[in-house]
Amino acid sequence: MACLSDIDLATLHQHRLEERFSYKLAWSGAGAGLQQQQQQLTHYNDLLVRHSASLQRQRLSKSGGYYKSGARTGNSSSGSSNKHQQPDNMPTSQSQQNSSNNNDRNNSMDDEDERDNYYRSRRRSGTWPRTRSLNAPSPFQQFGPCGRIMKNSAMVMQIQDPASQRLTWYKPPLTVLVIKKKDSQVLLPFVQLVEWLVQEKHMVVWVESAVLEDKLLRDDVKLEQESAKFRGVHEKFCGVRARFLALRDKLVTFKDGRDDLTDRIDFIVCLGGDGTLLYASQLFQQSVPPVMAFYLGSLGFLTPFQCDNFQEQVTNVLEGHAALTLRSRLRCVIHRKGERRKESLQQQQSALHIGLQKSNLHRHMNNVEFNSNNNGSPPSSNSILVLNEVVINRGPSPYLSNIDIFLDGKYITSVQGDGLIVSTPTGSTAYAAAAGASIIHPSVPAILVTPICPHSLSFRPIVVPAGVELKISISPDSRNTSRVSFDGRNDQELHHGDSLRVTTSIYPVPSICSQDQITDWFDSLAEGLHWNVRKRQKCLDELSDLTASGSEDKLDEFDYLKIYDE
Amino acid sequence: MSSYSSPPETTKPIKKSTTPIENAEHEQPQPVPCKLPLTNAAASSAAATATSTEAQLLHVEGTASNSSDVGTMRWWWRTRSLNAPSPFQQFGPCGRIMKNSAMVMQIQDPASQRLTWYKPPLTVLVIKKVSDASVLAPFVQLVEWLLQEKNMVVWVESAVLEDSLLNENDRFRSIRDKLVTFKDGRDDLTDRIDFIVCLGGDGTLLYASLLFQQSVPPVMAFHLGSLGFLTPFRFDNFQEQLTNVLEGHAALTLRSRLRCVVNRKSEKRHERTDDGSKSAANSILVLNEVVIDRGPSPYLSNIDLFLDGKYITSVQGDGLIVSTPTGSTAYAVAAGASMIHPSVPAILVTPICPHSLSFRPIVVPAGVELKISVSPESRNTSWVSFDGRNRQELFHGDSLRVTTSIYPVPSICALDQITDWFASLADGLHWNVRKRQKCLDELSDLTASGSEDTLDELENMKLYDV
Repeated sequence: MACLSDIDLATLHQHRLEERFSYKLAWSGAGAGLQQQQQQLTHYNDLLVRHSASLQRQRLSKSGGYYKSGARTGNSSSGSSNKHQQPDNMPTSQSQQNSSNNNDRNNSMDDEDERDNYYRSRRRSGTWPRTRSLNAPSPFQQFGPCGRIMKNSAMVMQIQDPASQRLTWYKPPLTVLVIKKKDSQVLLPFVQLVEWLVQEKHMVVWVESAVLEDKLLRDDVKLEQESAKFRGVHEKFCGVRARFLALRDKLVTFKDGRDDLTDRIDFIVCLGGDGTLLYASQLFQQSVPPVMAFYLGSLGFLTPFQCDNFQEQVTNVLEGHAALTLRSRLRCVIHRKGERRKESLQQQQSALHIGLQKSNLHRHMNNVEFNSNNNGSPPSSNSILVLNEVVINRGPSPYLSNIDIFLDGKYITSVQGDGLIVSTPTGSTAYAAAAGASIIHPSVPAILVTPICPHSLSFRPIVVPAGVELKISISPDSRNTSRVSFDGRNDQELHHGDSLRVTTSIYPVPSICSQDQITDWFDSLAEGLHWNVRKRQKCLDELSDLTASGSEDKLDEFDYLKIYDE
Repeated sequence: MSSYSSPPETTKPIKKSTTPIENAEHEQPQPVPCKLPLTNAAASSAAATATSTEAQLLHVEGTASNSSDVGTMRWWWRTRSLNAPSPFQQFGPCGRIMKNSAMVMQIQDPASQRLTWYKPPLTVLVIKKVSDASVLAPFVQLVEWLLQEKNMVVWVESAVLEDSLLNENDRFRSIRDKLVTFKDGRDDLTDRIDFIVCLGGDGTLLYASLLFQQSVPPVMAFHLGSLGFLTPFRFDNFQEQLTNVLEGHAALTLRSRLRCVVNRKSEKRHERTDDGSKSAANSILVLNEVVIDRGPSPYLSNIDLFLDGKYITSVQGDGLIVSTPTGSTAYAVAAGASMIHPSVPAILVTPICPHSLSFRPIVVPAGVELKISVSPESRNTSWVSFDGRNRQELFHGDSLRVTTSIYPVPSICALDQITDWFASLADGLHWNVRKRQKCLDELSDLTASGSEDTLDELENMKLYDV
């Protein structure tokens, strides 16, 4: 029963100390005096008491050395955050931390509690500690005296806590793409916004070329050929039209499918409903510029901003004061049965050559994905990124569809029913909500798999980690083919032998929050879906009589709690 | 427009001139002289220099692609991460995420989590299901083997020694004296146990979680109980499996727990006077869920839910379940929630019989703090229970705070995280088990020529996926 960890123990210990420093767990004692250090090393020894003496000595010297440098870094990092946030809060919590650290092992029951206080103070000061992380993998990777997670440096990644995600511009944004809904109600805000962006902010405004074709914004429309109703509306938009025509020459236009927008747009403003955001997502199949979405449409899950005082709000965002929600997208690739053949034939040929040709053909396609071609993987020129969901359904066929789901290459289950929805957390309030799935906050890294009318009493929707790869194909014994659609677009047929691969894309849509991630989401749930909106039951009279003396008191308490929470 | 935050020096802004198009053209002459054969890695790295954004990306992916051979699909390295925050933090030419070094954390991809022992495990705690005669024989077998073959120190609960049925067993009597006992609540197990073996159903794992309110030693759970969501191992060849695990060959699922603290109104007063440092001695870590319900009262319960200090909604109904992903297959599934894989960092909030047509269960990020309290105008108090234990009343003015604990339960997988989970869904809940519709005869006639072909194709695809 040898100790089979494949990493030498000294390194492990360094790692551990490092962890403890960075997460300020017990023993970290940033800024501790020499005595404290010694004390802590003794604790350390206690832990290691069962190990051979030589190793112990070696480790002691190493970890001791490390400790000092670690303490320094611990100090400096907290120092910087002090500077950043609230200067007088940190030291106290730090010292609190120290005192708790000294007693670490013995009364370690209090550790988490101490930390809780520490958290509270941190929270007030605005810096959020680890469990405040929205994406909360455990920083504590030691289990009992012996067990721990094997370090695999290839798989360690540095992520930034989603809770603290804020936008920053590292060059002032110059070009802005304005996407508007095709709706006459949007015209006035649209023209106002564009005028303001061009004249006040001196930005280069891009619009879709179709916008210039809008009959209501053109003065060369042959009015006599139009209906009376249109003429009335046209008349009404006279003023707006004049303002727009004055700007017209300053606008840059593009046409979807013809012009490549990659790296030309610094910032996107959407005017309208969620559809405009889906359209923005579709336009940028790689990195998406930050999107600010104004609510003018019918349903506003993704559009948190009100259009009233857009000047102030846009200025704020352009100055970099904005929280971001990274809305993950799904990368969908269809593999056709025929192509697979072809590909296997081509495998011996120059993959590189083909890849480069492809990249020229599909220059808007993403290079990383094209690289993958070279690794012998299937061509991904047909990869599509979706923001809401990819739907596989029975299409016009009256039969049950029969769809096999594979997860990371393993067969999971078959859907017999109308179809299947694979959605992002963002899409969990779209079709998936209608199909009965739970609603998922966009910062949860997950993929939601929901059947549509499954002919099974036991097919509850499931939530799987964001990093898995799903493969969806028609069962060999299915009676009909299925249809796939991506965010409701690009409807196409999936034949026997074809497969659809879905995984989380590396390119999320950065959508700017009007307040913060949590508030925006719950607001949209309340407004968009009337989530749990219900008349409240009234207090019982007798009961309120009974507690009459205490009831005011309770309200006070309640207020107090609110303050407490801030 | 003076107040743009200054760019970090280390990151070079991308010039607009280096669009992928131009680069592809730049690169073109270079690969042509390249030999045609499968120098895929070289090819990809040549293309990797396309833009600086991509270089950044491929830096991440490069580690994987170095070792990649043609069929292994390692190129999807990043998205293979189970916990997949985007590594790509640049949005368009100008926008990016503000670097905040205080908030950057290093995490290890949950998909690659494996157990390692940095000292050989010496002490093992064996938890067995109580009052079940069928567990006794495996229990004695296991303990005997651990003592005699592995020379480990075996801890058991003191109640085990008092089991009369067990004491009739000769083999048990011979090893009885070698066991170390403890009593829950009296003895502190912290840092004394290297390894836990559970024999029985999910209840044994919940008990293990209860015993260790801080760091939990790795738990290996054998399936002998009625429902085995958390118990992936079969007992048949336990020697081999245990040896494997003791040698460190094991994937881990970190099952997050919820840290629950009840703040009493009266205590709060107290705390207010002596400033702040009221400890949360009543904090409880739960593995499945914390349930707030109406208790014996016949009234609707009326519970306010706050998230990170903001009022979210009120539950009017039988109650509320706050569960971990692990608990999503427990009470929450009965209340209609979706099932969540344990590696998804999330908290599931599910109402119990809400008197509202629109209270769909919600999934919130793991790091938020929920506060639950009885509404001031509620007609009755509520009851809280933690993993079904510690049932207590929540009065007006009291509140319950719930957040993800930093101490997960490391449960050892029989195969891997994904397979184990779906196996348990199939075994435990018969998730989507249904008779398959047969192929239509006419259709199979129509595609007769192609049908064999399809099967071949399917096999092919499976190979491809390995």
